[in-house]
Amino acid sequence: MSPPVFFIVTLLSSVAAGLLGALLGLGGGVIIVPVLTLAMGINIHYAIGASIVSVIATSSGAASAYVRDGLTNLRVGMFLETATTTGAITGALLAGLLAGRYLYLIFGLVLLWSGWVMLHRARLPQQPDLSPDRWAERLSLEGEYYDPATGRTTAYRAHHTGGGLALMFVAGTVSGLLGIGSGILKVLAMDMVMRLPMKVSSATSNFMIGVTAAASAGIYFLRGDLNPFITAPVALGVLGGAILGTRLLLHLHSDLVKKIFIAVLALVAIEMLLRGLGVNV
Amino acid sequence: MAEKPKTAPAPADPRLRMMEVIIAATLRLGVTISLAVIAIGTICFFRHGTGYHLPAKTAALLAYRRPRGFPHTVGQVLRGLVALKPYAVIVFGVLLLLLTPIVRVAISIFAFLLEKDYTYVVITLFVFLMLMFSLFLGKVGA
Repeated sequence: MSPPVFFIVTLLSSVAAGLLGALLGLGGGVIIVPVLTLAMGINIHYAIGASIVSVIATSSGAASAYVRDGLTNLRVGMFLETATTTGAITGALLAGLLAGRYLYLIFGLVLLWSGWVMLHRARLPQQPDLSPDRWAERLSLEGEYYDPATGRTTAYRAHHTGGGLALMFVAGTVSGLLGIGSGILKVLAMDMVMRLPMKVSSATSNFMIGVTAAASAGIYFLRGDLNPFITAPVALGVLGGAILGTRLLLHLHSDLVKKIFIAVLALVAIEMLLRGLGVNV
Repeated sequence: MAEKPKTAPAPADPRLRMMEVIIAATLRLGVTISLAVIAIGTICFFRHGTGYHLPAKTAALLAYRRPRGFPHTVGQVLRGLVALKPYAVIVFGVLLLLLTPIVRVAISIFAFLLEKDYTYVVITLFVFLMLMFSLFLGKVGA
């Protein structure tokens, strides 16, 4: 196809990815990389580079929404970002050393894992409540938040700081390796391991995603993986789609939609795995 | 509808909250500017080509080979920008986008300085240095 046609197709695909991501509470990255590689035949390194840029765009663009409710915990976020940024650099460097097909394989596995988590979210076991974490005390990893639903102000404090930090390193590595936001893993780590309230975890995770992505983006840039021809429509499209998604305010939490999406996710995951194994379906 | 009562803030919170609001506003401004630059670069690209060696054919523009047909160091971008090469304009816009989280972290350093929270000044400085690190380490694996 000619360059303008390619541009428009990529732009519209990105809008769709951003929209879907916003509606489902997933990042655009998980959607855009398979679309660019499987549907449009773009090299996976370019696809991941473009995706990282779009992750930064949506994270920075939507920052005010997360700050408004006072749910983001700046200290927790910044403290955990020491681990996520270290991981992001590790992941980005690793991506430069791995052949494309390993990225496909890892991406497919991460997609399968994400789908599994989405299915079993409610039934995941929680870490037992232990006595307050000394690090949480020393680093003030605590706060209060007001829940309009219950009308109560609740105080909270982080637990299992070490475990949370380790998981954040993993989340950062996955983010840097695959060009995704790793929001799911971050929220899980904060919610289940560090026992932070769900709303605080979500808001803080969204706050952190852009910084994590920026840590890996520099490496992608210098490696020449940020192709303007791809990055431009993807950045513009995904942000546009995400804004559209939040305006529509259709929070698709219905079970059926989720199940359909998980099914599609599984199919895409299998396709990515097949690509990684050298089978071109 | 009853007014939503304010949360009872811990002593340091009101100023941190204000900082977060400033950060968020700066981010949105940064994103708007960078996307505008990217859009302008794209329009120039469709009218004048890339400004570099690649022919304006989709296959060539998407090819993953060296040398790259677009700037990928800060020096290359700035030189191309001065020469008004469309691709350099786009990449410059992308770089501005990459800057927004870095600016956010930098502002946070000052926020914690104002709070006299030196532990977090150090923590945030570490994150800031990691971000700078990635901009210079990138050559590895190229």
